[in-house]
Amino acid sequence: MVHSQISRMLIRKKSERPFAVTIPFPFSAIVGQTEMKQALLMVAVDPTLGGVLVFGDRGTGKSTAVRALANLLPAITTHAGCRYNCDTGSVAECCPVCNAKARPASIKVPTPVVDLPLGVTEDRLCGALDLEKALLSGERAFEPGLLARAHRGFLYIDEVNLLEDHLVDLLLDVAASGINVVEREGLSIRHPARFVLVGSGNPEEGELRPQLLDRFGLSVDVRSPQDIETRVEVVRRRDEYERNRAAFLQKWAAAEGKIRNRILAARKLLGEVEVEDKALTMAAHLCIRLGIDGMRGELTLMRAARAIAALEKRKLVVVKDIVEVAPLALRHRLRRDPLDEAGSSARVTRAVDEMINQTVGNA
Amino acid sequence: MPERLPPDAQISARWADALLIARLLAVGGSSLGGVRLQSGAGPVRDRWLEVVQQLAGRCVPWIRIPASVAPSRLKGGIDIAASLRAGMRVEETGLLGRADRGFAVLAMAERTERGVAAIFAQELDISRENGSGGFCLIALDEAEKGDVPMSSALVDRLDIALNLNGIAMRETCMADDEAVTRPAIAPEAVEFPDDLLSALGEAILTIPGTSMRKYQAVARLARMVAAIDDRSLVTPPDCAAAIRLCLGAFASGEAVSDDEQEELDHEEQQPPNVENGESDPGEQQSADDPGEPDQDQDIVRDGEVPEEMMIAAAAASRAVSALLARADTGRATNLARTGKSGAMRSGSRRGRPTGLVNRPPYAEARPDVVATLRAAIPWQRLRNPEASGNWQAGTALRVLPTDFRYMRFRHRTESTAIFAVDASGSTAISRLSEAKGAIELLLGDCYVRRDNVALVAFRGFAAETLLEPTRSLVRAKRSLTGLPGGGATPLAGGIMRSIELANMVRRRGQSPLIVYLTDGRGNIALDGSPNRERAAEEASSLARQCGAMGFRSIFIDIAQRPRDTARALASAMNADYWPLPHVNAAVISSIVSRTMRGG
Repeated sequence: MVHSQISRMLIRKKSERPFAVTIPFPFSAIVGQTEMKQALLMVAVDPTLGGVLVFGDRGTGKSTAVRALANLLPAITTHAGCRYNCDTGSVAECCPVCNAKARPASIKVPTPVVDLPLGVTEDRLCGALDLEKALLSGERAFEPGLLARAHRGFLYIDEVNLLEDHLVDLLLDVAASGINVVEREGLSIRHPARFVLVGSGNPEEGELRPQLLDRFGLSVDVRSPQDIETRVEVVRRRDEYERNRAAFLQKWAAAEGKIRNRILAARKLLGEVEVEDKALTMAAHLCIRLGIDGMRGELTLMRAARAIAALEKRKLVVVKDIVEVAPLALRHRLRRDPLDEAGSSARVTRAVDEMINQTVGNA
Repeated sequence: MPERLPPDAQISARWADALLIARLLAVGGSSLGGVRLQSGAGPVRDRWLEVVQQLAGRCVPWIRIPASVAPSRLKGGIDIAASLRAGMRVEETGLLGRADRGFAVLAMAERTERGVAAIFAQELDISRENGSGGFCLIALDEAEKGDVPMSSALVDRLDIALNLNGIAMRETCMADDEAVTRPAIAPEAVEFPDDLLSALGEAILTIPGTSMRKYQAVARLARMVAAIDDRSLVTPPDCAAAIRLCLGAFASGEAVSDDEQEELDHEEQQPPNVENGESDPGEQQSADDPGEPDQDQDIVRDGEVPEEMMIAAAAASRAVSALLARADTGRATNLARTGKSGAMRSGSRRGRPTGLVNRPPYAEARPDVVATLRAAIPWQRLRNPEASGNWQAGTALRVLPTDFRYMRFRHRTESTAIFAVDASGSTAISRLSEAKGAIELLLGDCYVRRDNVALVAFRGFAAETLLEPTRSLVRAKRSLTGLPGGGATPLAGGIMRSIELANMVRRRGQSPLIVYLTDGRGNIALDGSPNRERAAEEASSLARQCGAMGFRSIFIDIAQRPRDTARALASAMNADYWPLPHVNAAVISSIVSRTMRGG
């Protein structure tokens, strides 16, 4: 190898991973896109809701919103040097750092956001044999991948509809089970990987298989804002942010704090939220009317309604909550009828309206 | 700037713009994301690149990246050779890391694989989010009409579009000064009047198919144009220039001339809608949004905005939308597929990797280096005991043939159903709509299996491809609204176009299936002349060709009383023949679906 080439190589320690240090655009300063923001807040309150699928136009602030939300969330506590983002309370069996005799100090790190590039390999995603260890000591050690890094945070995939099918399968499986199982190269590893999966894409470039659609908890359709005021406001704020970050962040700090507190309060409250009988019946009827197979739709509907109620500081889910979250939780589960021109959202809304009229009529 | 150029050089307005862009890049660099440089390879492009280098200063990193770059090289990773030598993990900086605070020049950007394009897009986002550092991407787009366009994810993130095609070398010149210094007024400090910003937003909204990113880009550019001109206030001409640079219009700010405008208006008239209520209103609006609907009204309605600002912005946007409507640039951003290799490759040498095997899957397979090393590493202690724990430069890794690992690929053959639909007067319009119905049904079904659908319609004097091979139901619906019908039957042209399309599909490594919906009675020859006999002759010879090339096809005879001519055509092309006087979307879709699954 030529010398100049060697000099270009940087020798880095593992702990010094290049993380973006700058504070992203504030969540509260994002103009419009209320539905997307709502969905993200809901999964922030209840990560077990499953992922969010954001489909729509380019340049509508999808990744900005995810980054902003993660920045808003309180830091997570882990051990210094841990590469699995282990919780100090319960550590992964395979984590060499956290299981060491002398436990390292606990530190706080920001909620991780992992951006998954389309060209990612399975190795990189799940982890693979650690080359360094193998070279130095002939030891078979595991080098954790992106799934480990996303644990307790967000995994964002832009253009999820273009991702190789086998990777999508793998991701959804891990997201649903919360455990990454690696069986390769003589390694047998399992470690927790609980993250909120956020997928985005443009439906004009191809669609997701229905089996996969169904695995996402919520789905949102985004469009570029069409009215001029909103558009100008978007650019104005972005402009302000780019020109003077410190001042802009300062300006929005109070609003950010409010949202953070709202999420934290909702998380606490979530366990106590009950669902009213009428709302339960409504959810069941809605799923039957829309012909949604399986229980997943109904379950998500219920959980989503609970998250909404918690966000609004209520301990009871009422019919209104179900109505509010029905499009988010159900629109991607409808059986596609290519000849029905009305979009899926419209069909859900229509069904909801019919239901409400019926109940009013009966009463 | 243009006015400082030597007087004897005959510099076109477009080259002046190109110079302005070079200057902006030298000043703005990474904050602009980069530039999509549409141009064939040649001295003009080289000269422009040289100007950028000159203005940016020679010491700024300038990394040229081939389109076939491996993702791992872009982002860096473990350097195995150096790691072995150093006895510790050595990471090498990726190409993009080396381009930090400089330029990354991506050659043949339109051939970039979408995975690689996605990495570029992601890195551009990160470098913009970080505010400082990062790289500026110069994407050399050599796509010509008919080629697969550059990845739209990437195009959307590059603030500037520059087209050098058609500029002659004598129109160009070098910049007259060496490296530019940072302008006295930082771009961030330039004031942007609020009413101008909204006027700009309004002007951009009238250009169809522009995303919010482009609006932000124009605002950013306008500010920067003002800054390098040493002004602390953005003026309407700055906005006009920014729109021009961002959206790649080369007419320098002037509106389209009147007759061109008329021509445009004419073109914008929708083709007669075959079926009403086919698409929902929202979709239709965005699809057929004409260039500049109520430009004049906007000016009148918006009383507070100084009129000249509006006019400047509107003129620029008008020029841009005229260009977008005419050239295929607008389409290019909508078409989403990125560079797939056009070369013929067969069998299991391509496709997605499905795993490692220790035996070559085909004769000339090359071992996968990383996997081979991985397999060899655990054995090094045994094979080379004296070196273990004492790795240093020169220590060789002992690799035995048993360590060789090969990547095995599984190639999933995608099918593409090409519908060749007779849209002439001889077949009723309702049949066309049934064909559309069949396509939509098929797509609804196809996307489970990831198959594609394309549509060729022939009527009047020629055949045209109405829908390029796509998997997207949304796009298909958009293209199929307002499918025109009526006129003569250029059957031969239709067959020829379908064969061309099928060949293209096959080159992409997919298997085509042609579905003809016609009564088999052509009356227009290939050259467009109304000659029934020659038309029939050409049709049957093309049909034989189609059969000889081995394309699978289905011939659906939609004549009221099926005749032998159609059957003869079908047998010439080795097609399955289905007489179906009462065309029905569901039946067609089930026939095609069965054939696709069967093969």
